[in-house]
Amino acid sequence: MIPDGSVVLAILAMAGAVYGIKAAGVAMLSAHRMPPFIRAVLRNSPGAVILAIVAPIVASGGAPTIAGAGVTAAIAVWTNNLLAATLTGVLSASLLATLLPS
Amino acid sequence: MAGAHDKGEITGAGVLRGGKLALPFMASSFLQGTLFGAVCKEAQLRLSDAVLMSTLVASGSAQFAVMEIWTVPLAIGALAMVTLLINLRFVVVASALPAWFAQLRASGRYGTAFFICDESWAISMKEFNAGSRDVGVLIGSGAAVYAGWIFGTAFGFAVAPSGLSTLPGLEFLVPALLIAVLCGFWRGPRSNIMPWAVAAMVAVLMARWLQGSWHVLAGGTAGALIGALLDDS
Repeated sequence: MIPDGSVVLAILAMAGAVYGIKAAGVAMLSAHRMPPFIRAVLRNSPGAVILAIVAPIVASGGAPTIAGAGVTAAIAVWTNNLLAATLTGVLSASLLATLLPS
Repeated sequence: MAGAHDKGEITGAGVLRGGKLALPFMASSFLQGTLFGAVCKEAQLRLSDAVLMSTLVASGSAQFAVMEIWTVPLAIGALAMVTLLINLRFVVVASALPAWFAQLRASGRYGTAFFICDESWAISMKEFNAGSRDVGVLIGSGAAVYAGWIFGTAFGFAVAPSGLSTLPGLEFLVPALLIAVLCGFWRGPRSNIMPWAVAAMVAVLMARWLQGSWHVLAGGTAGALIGALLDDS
């Protein structure tokens, strides 16, 4: 079990980060326009971070993970539905993992 | 409904209208919250931790991302940094609110800021562009999405059967969700292929050398910088 305090501390740190970002955006409303490069970095950040989390997992995951990733992406693009894509991807990965000898 | 004021206002009617407009999003945030609650239970968090996180952080992508790199003992710095990077775009989103928003009193502006999320921003900007200056819509729609997320978290935690992660392929649940979220950020091959390829390669390489989740920050930063450089040129 994780010590009680550290989980709450982590949550507070995360909450502070998220709110700080939104408050900073609001504070900038009346300030000068943001430099385009900074704006571009901010816009590119979430995609890059998610890739950085997912790529090592897919790279080391084997066939079920790669197939699951492909199915998830395909359904996501096709239906624009987060849950449909997620669940189909997981089912594919699960199915393959069960069928293939490990 | 065109406001009679030059300034913005916050009304109860606006809040209710925002909530009503966000009902479909509330349904999907509830379902996503259910997944999140189940993931938290598998990670051996307490119900109170899961609900607290969903209430205070109120960011599905960040919360799922963090659960993917959750370790014991916690690397709080890494968790905070990943949360920061995933939400950085909201600096741009929040600052894209109409100019008159800045005329609201500080408590109104900064109180409302908490309720900014993709859905509430989209709903309220549509209202503002149609002439409304009722910021209640932003609050109400954000609150509805958050409520779904929080109740979903609690529900998912409560009903999740134990031992879910023993099912083959289930460890792919959070990565799959993140991939689905990622697809929403696709803006086209020119915009995304290079930065995403860089992010992936740096992360995979760094995962071999760096402890914990620092490869995420390395890959994320590298990808964001390359993407920005390409956008700018």
